[in-house]
Amino acid sequence: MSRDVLVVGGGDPGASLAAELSGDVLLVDPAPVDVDDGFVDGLASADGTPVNGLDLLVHTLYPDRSRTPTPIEEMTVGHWAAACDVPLEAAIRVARGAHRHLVARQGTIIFCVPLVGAAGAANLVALAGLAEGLRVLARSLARSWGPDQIRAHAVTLHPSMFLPPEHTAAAVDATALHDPALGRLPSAAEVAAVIDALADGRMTSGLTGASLVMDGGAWMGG
Amino acid sequence: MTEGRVLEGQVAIVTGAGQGVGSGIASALAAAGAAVVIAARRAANGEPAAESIRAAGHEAVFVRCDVTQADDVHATVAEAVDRFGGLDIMVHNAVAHAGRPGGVQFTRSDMIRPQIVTATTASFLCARASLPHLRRRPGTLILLTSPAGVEGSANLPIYATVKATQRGIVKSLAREWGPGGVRVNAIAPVALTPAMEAAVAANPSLETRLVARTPLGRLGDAAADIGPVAVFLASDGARYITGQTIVADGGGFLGL
Repeated sequence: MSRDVLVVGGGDPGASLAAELSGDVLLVDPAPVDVDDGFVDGLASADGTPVNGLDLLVHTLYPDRSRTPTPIEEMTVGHWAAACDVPLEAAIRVARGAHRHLVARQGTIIFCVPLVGAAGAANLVALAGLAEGLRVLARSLARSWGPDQIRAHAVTLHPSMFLPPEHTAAAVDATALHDPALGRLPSAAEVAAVIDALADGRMTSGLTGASLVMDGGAWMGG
Repeated sequence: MTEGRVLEGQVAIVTGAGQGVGSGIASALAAAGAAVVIAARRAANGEPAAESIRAAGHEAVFVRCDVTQADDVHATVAEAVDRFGGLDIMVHNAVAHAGRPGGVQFTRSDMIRPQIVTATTASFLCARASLPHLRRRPGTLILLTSPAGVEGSANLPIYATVKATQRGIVKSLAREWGPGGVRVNAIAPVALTPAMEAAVAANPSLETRLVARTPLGRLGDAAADIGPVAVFLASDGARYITGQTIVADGGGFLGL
């Protein structure tokens, strides 16, 4: 039986990962403000079949507001909400709605988060807060959903996989990252292969709550 | 400077200081010499907290403040500056009620957003409003997070998530504000507060379980165990420390 995979969040890295992941992949890109507890229940595949059970859910939903560097004194309350609070709540509501679909398959939920959360980044405070919140949401879900045999992880990726090219260099400077030890950043195919492995019960059934950093060795802070 | 009064002449705001950890931190900052603004939503808590500090011979004033409202936060900062001449220490401690323990799918829907806003929007508002004044000293911003904000929580997943968000904010603001000399840190405490006492009353085995996994064998005291950590972070002794989370929980969490 083929795996049912849901990727929530378009653009990069969601779209490029969706193209590389194994299984029947449904990519959706909602506006975070439109996501409620019934969001997953309301989804259907291209042929109109409603989502009914998930083997893997990959969260990559980061609005443009989150990805735009801005000093904190220049941010408005509305800007902050759009960049941090609203997508954070959307992620929580995606998870709430996905629970019954993941239980049905003893599935896996993975949050792809930018490294700016773990490492900190000047002028990307809202994105960093959002990322660190999601990294720990994965741990909380791992703890509470473990008895249901649902596994939860965070995969931390280099900022360049989330930010528009014109902002990437500034983000790397703002995060004070080293050059990747491997001399290059991983491709989307390499990241997707790791996510596939994390969702493969034959390989990783004893692993949950992990926070993997996949950035070619740019950051080794734990 | 009188011995022990390492914050003599400084001015602090502590949000959520009407009780619990916030009250303990406010008392400790005042005892260390800072003039303290008790920022709290309810005068019923805030006034007695300020009065208790004044009764001990220190300087404190209560200002009503809903930390989720920009106007309230700005007015609180303005009050501190007008009354005491500046702002050196901003401590955001206020937290929303987390609701009944349980998995994320069981959290009451209407209890999600208040937790997010009280942690993240309020951190933003406190940071933005205090920055011009902190730059002048330069001063320090301290956010209260939690060990759950590092290791996650099966029973308080929203709380753990928003507390982690604050750690991301701390690390990034430390990078953003460091060149101006403003330091930003977090404290992750575990203490016997009114909220903890209520949780223990609802779940009598909780305290025993928490103490059993705490190497120091007891829960923290807000004023005696957590307050001094804030004093240290605000003091010159911590002048080279920024972007850090100090876990003050008796050794229960050792994962950093």
